[in-house]
Amino acid sequence: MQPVGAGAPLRVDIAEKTFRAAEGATITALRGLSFEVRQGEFACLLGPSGCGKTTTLRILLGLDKDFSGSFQLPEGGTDRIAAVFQEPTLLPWRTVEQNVRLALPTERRNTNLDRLFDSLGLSGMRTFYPSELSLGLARRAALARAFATEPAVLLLDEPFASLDEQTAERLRHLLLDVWSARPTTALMVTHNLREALMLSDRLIVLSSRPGHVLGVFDVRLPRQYRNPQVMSDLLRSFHEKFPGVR
Amino acid sequence: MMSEDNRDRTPAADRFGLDTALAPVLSVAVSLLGLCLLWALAADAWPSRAFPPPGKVWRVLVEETASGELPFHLGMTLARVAAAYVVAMVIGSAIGILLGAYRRADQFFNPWVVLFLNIPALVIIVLAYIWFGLNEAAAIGAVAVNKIPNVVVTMREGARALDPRYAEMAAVYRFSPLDRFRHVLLPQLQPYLAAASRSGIALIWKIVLVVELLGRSNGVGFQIYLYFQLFDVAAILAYTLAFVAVMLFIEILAVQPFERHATRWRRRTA
Repeated sequence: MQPVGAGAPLRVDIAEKTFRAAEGATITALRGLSFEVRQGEFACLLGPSGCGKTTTLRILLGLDKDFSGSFQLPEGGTDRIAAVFQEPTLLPWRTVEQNVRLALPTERRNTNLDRLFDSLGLSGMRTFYPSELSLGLARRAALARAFATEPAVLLLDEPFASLDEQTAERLRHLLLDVWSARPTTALMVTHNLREALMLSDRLIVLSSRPGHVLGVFDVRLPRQYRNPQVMSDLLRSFHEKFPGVR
Repeated sequence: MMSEDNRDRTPAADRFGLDTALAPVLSVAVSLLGLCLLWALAADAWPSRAFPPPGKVWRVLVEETASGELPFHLGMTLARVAAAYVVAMVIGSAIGILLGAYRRADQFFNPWVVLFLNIPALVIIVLAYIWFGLNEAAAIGAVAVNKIPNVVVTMREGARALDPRYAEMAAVYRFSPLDRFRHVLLPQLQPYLAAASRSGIALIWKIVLVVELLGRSNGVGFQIYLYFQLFDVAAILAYTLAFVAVMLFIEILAVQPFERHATRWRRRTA
């Protein structure tokens, strides 16, 4: 495996993305959206709902090819891309472990996943079917699947939405633990400012539709120093820089 | 196997297991026994060569089995049913999934499907024999063509109901085509495949009899035609009941366990 830290950044330059409704009406979701995430950096895409955050991720995942502009994904390592969707999107007819292993390339199917399952607290759930899991556990399984592939870039679409705050907070710490073990270029979509300040190295703030970058807020402080006092300082300086953003 | 499972369980679970496993079997047995009794009473009240009592049918069944006639013809028919079923399911599923996935193709080919759905089975059989000769391939092909449109319609519904989120997940994680088929597509289509199979087997074996009657020299259909000319109702009923019994056993011993296995993830909920 190639050492993490080498290779190109994640570079996004979307000129325009338009949706056509059935009646011929058009909605411009994104216009002039361009930003960069450095290698091994955890970035958050922050913006009001409906500003095209999810659309951006879908474009980067290659699921939506109908747009003008370009993007460049980081290379190196497995050269793979991993996603954690808004819904866990586990195959209901396969067990947790099968779901994770199916995402791996064939030659790595039998790799040892004990540590990953352990660190996400899923060791006892490997033979469970997704319908037997709570939403929080299903989200953990989705995280396990993403990290198991050792991707070159990790895209997360509001992975903590519709969880109670306690569960979401525990999951955020779990995410940080697994991510720190192998820092991967990551881009997470969220509308939760506190979550973004806690997790990321860099916040990319989007405008409302059509979405474009209002500005970038870098958090240079290591995560272990982000205690409640520091967090409220970060919040204050963020609000000074972006007075309109919640 | 099932009774062994039950032995290991706690008394409460055992009673639950008996309720769910044995009760339907028992009620089916009682119901069939009632039908036999009614049949015996009716045959007693109106004695006729054209309406033999169950005891006579049973005797013919035993004789024909002992002589090896019935197992041979039953085997021939079963083989044709199996062949026609496999051909119809494979071709019908492939067409159905394609039509469900591509709306343009569906718009163009839908009239064809409706046309074939409405061609009487007899017409297809007669044409197959005229065009391709009185041979096994024509017989099995004719049965399959009769069934394919039904499979197409069912599988088309299934393909329309596919969840795009799973396909997107499979694309992001670079599933191989085989994995997509096995782990994403087939499990989603399973209920539709089961529905097509169920209605398929029932329809196919009825058409196979007609095919055998018209152009084959063995099989249950051929025998029934023979005994029809001899006016031997007891033999006709013996062959019919033997075949129905075999189909019932296939349903209970093969289809149902397979479906339970395929839907295991759905029944176990926390």
